[in-house]
Amino acid sequence: MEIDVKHIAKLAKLDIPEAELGKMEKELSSIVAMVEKLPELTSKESLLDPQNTMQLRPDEVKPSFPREEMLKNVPETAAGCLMVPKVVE
Amino acid sequence: MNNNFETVIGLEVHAELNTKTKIFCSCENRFGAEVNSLCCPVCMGYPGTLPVLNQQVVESAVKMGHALNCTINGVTKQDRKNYFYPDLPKAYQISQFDVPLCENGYLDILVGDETKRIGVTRIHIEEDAGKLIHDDSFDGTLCDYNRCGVPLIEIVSEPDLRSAEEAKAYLETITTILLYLGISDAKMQEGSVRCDVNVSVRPHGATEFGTRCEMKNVNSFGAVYRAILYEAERQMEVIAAGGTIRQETRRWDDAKNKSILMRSKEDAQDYRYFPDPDLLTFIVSDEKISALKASLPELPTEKTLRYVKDYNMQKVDAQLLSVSKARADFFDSAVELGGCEPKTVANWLLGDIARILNDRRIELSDTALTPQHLVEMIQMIDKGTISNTAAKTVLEEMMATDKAPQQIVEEKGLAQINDSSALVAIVEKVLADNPKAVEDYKSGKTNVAGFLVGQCMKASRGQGNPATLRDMVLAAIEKL
Repeated sequence: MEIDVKHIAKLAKLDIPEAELGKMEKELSSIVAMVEKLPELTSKESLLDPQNTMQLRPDEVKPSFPREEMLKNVPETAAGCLMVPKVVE
Repeated sequence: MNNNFETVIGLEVHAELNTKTKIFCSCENRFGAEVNSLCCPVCMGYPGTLPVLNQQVVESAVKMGHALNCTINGVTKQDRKNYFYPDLPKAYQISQFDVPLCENGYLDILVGDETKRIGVTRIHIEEDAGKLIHDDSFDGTLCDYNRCGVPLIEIVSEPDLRSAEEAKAYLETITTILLYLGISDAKMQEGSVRCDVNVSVRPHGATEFGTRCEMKNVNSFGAVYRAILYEAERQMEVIAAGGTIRQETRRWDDAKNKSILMRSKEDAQDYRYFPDPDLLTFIVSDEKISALKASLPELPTEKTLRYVKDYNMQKVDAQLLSVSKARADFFDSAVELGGCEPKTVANWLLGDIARILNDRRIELSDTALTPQHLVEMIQMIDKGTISNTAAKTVLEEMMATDKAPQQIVEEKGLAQINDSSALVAIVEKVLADNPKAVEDYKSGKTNVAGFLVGQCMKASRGQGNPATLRDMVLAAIEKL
């Protein structure tokens, strides 16, 4: 199993030093090899679990949270919004 | 435009549903509220929160599935689509991957005189992302999460569209159906309907598709049309110059009328879909699926074709009627009352009534006009009780007040004068006041009769019967 550690690191927003790539690839390969021993899923239906289903919620409005409460955990705010480092579309 | 090539188009339409609450929490689903005032820990993606699926979202999506002739998957689930961007606080969007709620449907659209069937690959439910505000007066990007968790349906078409006209007709039909079903506000200008456009070109007669490019940010019917023309032309030029098309995502800039490269296939997103462990499989029962199907109204394309067939209407008029559910319902009620020609009702709705609504920028429902009153007014014209000219005054009054036309005619003294003795004086005066026109008529310019009859109508304040007046004018000239 070939593992592209650089690609995975990019998706996970992780900085992995060049020197550790080889080691990482070896470790990840052995994890994947272990997971691959799980019994194979036969069809897409098997990811559905009709014996164990969920109840849906009625469409009734309940009050939202006060904004000040919601923003208490936010490191930086401005004009009632969360502020994050500038992103371009 | 290069005529050796054919354009192939597929559309992904995202429509916000107008449920009372969001898809996974009980926060109100409303556009235009103060920033971050419709949020809770679920929409903000705080750890430890659990999404609970809104039943109405499922029902609305199933309705759309029926309207687009889809198979409904009554046993389905939801999946996580991972991407990292600050408009999505959880860093994943809850969507559907391999088992969409609806799939394998189609939509018949009218393009010119043709009816064309467009395949619908799938319709799935998902949550909308928040809104980012880019403003130079702040050091960073601002996030408003009111839109996080607003329910969306994504409708994916097959690559069956072959021109910008077809794509526009498809999109217009989709938005009209959303309004007919009452499941979305379907306002492209407010972003409640958004569209990604996939375009490729291939030589005429080719059996394989060319490499496609996806365009994002196409936000009006006109933009869809322009973006397709631009992109098809760009691809044809690349090929004509000996180049090849690379699969890429482009952003449509409608103001500059061009598309800009966002990312190529090499750095395509890797969404790493997997079943959402916070949400279990859910079931829509066969009874529920059938009941929702039975609840569908007659849809716009069916209506248009019925009007053409049953009332011998021009297709363009039939389409203008059925494109607005309110107008089509009004028309259907008026025709059901009977006693007048359906075509006459259509002419009033598409003519004077549409003009007044348009001038005042109001909807039919903002006026006092009822199908009953319109039919009574048309009957009064047919019987010769009022003239067409007087009817316009009656119509204005009926739209402003809830008075019956009979009452308006009496109050305003608009009844038509058919009795020629009452009109003699008017005709004599008009002829005396217009000696030049009378001379012209006598020297063979017979079309001035129309002018003279018009003057008589004016003098009678619209109450004269134009046919009677015409006979009288011609007879009087002969006698001079």
